[in-house]
Amino acid sequence: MTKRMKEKIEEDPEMPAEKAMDVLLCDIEEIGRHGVRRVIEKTPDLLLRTMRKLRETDAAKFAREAPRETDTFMDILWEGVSIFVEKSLESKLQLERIDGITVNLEASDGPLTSHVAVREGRLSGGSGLLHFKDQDVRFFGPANALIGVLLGDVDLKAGPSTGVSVEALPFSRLLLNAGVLMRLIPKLLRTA
Amino acid sequence: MANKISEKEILEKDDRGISNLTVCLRCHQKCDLTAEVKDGRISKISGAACVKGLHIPDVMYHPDRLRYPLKRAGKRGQGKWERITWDEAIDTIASRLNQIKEKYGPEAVHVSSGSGQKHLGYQATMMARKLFPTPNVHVGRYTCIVPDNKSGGVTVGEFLTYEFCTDYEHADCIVFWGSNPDVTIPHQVKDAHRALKRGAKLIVLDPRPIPMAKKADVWLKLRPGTDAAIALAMLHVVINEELYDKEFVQRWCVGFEKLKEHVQEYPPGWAARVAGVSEEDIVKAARLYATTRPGTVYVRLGVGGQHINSTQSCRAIHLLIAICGNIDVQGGNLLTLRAFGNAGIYHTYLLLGSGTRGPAEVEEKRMGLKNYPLMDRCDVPETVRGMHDGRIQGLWCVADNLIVSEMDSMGIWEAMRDKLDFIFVSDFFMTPTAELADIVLPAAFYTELDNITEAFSYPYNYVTACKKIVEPLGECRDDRNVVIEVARKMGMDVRPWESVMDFLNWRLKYAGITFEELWERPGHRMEFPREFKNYERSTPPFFTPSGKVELYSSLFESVGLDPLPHHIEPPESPVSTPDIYKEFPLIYTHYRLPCYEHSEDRQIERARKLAPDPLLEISPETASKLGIAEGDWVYLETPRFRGKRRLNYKARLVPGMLAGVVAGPHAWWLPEKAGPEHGCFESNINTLLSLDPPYDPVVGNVQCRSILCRIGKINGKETHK
Repeated sequence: MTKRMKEKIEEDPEMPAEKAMDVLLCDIEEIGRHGVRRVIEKTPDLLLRTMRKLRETDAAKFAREAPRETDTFMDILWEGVSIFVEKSLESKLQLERIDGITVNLEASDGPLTSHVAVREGRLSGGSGLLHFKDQDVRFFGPANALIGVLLGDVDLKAGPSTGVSVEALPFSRLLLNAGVLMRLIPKLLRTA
Repeated sequence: MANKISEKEILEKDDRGISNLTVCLRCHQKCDLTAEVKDGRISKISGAACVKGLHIPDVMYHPDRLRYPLKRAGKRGQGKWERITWDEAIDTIASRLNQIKEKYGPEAVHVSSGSGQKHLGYQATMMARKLFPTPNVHVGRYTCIVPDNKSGGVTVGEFLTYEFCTDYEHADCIVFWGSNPDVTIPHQVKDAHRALKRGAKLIVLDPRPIPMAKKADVWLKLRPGTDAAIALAMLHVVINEELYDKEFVQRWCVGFEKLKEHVQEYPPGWAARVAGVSEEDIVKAARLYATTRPGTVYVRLGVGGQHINSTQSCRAIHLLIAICGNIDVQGGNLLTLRAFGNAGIYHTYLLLGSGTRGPAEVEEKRMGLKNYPLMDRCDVPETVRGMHDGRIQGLWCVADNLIVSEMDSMGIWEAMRDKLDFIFVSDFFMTPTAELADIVLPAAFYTELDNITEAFSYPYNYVTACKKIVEPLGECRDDRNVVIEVARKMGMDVRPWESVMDFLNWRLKYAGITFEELWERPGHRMEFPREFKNYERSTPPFFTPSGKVELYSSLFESVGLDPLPHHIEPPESPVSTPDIYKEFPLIYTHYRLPCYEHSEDRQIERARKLAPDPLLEISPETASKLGIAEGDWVYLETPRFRGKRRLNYKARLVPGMLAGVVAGPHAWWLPEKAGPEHGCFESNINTLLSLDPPYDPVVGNVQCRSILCRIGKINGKETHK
């Protein structure tokens, strides 16, 4: 089942965006139905590939046309990342250093919203935004750029040219801790 | 540094148990004050205060002070008002803003705050940005320190030449660049005078003979608008003579080789011809600053704010500070904002770039976002155009005399009078701006409300909890409370700021302390020791993309701006427009007065006695050629509005003033003159300035000083009587 999904994801690099979108929609539904843990145990790099495909199809467009599935994918993504953390001692140690941080991610060009929090060495997250009163750091910008941040392809140090704004109490450790988190996530997705 | 009073004075409480301490918000100095209270009114201010602080009771209890909400009862500007309740005011404002949002989008509401009540207006504006929400907010004025701060931001990651960044106390060399510290920093300047007494060297760059110029070891009396030329030439000297701090440059800077190559184009001989000063003096200033360390540089609006090349001019100055190793050393230019960030305190200036933004789909509609991606507030020229063409429909001016303080005064007047759907203004007095409002709200003075204030001092910075000393006069209210109530009435989610106290606690939350807990501490304050060379202990050392001092700015380069500074002539100048110069042979610049903060206090008798008339400073040589004597009333005209508009000033002959330069007072209006204009177009240079291009490419401000003009005697007519 997962091999089939993986094959579908990879089958045609030139796949037109609309078809890729259909593929993505089916895949998200299937992952949700079979359970994240089971799927990524069988195909650990599936999340990474799905995110890449999402970006290729234009994440903002996908979110506008399939907002429910986008939310589902965000839930899947963070559940998957938290499972990867469980398997990585190094990641757990890093998370302990940034314990307590809460991050919102909000797309400026489509209804893609997500949040992640680190508590007691564990990572949790999902679709939607934490309330402003609970938010330490906020990333906002084009959906593709946010996906790029999560993939590690967008270097936030490049500043406004990335299209992503980072909002936090300046000069506090929050920005640094958010940076640690945002560097950890692509590592987890890649080495899983 | 802020002026602090003694522990004993701080702990004195009156019979109501209210401490008599407050922190003055009349300017940026944040001096401690003590207040005497009699019969529920502040009777006297004492302790450390300049004349503006001493006038606090005069302002608070002036007979013209607004005490109740008012609703327009005639046409805009007719001066007909009816008193209304706060409930009606809030209901009306909320309803009108909602209508505008529904029809035009949240971005059609513009919230503008000036410098009134230092920081309270800023805070209210940033809260409105989040709660209304609207992306089109402007705090302070972009023609103020924004270019200077942006250049600091891209070079070292934060402010570097602002008034709280300078450590005069320990400096061996002090540079006042386009700044008049005896007027603008009346307490902090005492540290500078003490330093000069112990033998510190002094360099002044100013066309006016400011008090500090007379004490200077080198006084560069430069043509206004040529600061970048001088700074680049100084870099040329320092680099070519290898006077720079090699160790600091090698270890903490990037881009030095590119800078070195770049400044070869700017030798001191060239800069001398451009700026009208001697080559010898430029070289002397460069050598003096580079070899007398530590050195500290204070930049203010003479270079830091009001030219289309202000950002890059300040960049050049920042680079000079950097390569001379004067960053964050005792006696140098200090990295100060990080002290608050590290301590988890949301300093007001930290709110500007973060923490108070609305949803992404609202923020992306900020005016000027595409043209000025590094800015964190709306682009004013574009917003004013929006006021004319309908993109802006609602306006809230909070602590902001917009018509007087912004360029194109008459254009803004017309837009407010004829075009906007709804205007509300919060202020102490009926200003020309308030006269055009639909609703006027009486603002509480800062002694009448709870607040936390942050101050920079030595040996520590501190944040103070200030409780209200007296009850607000009449029905005056805290502007931050107005934001919350209006947003609540609009149906917005106001959490976590359900009250002003919630907002104050939110600002302290990362420090793990509440307002009440801060109040209970000795002196009602928390202190953060001044530390130096923070970059040696920070990760990253500097908050720039590379983590180092960016002599070559990768941020500027990433958004298509010049990564290295250049000299650019003002749009009108003897060099760029020689034909216009033949007809308009004088260069106009501004000055500030110690008794006024921008447009404030013209109605305060004690202040007005100190400066009753708008004086135009002219050199005796220039005056003599024009047949102008001391005290004559003169007109001033600019090329843009020739034949259409003129301003009136009283001539003041100033020996030592650079010939060919005239200087006028900022933001002049006449409360005693009939409304609605109150004489705001008579002696205010903003009447003769427009918001048309060209603009500073980083910040978007127009050229509003170093402009060409001509003057002449007004015959047989006395004005302002």
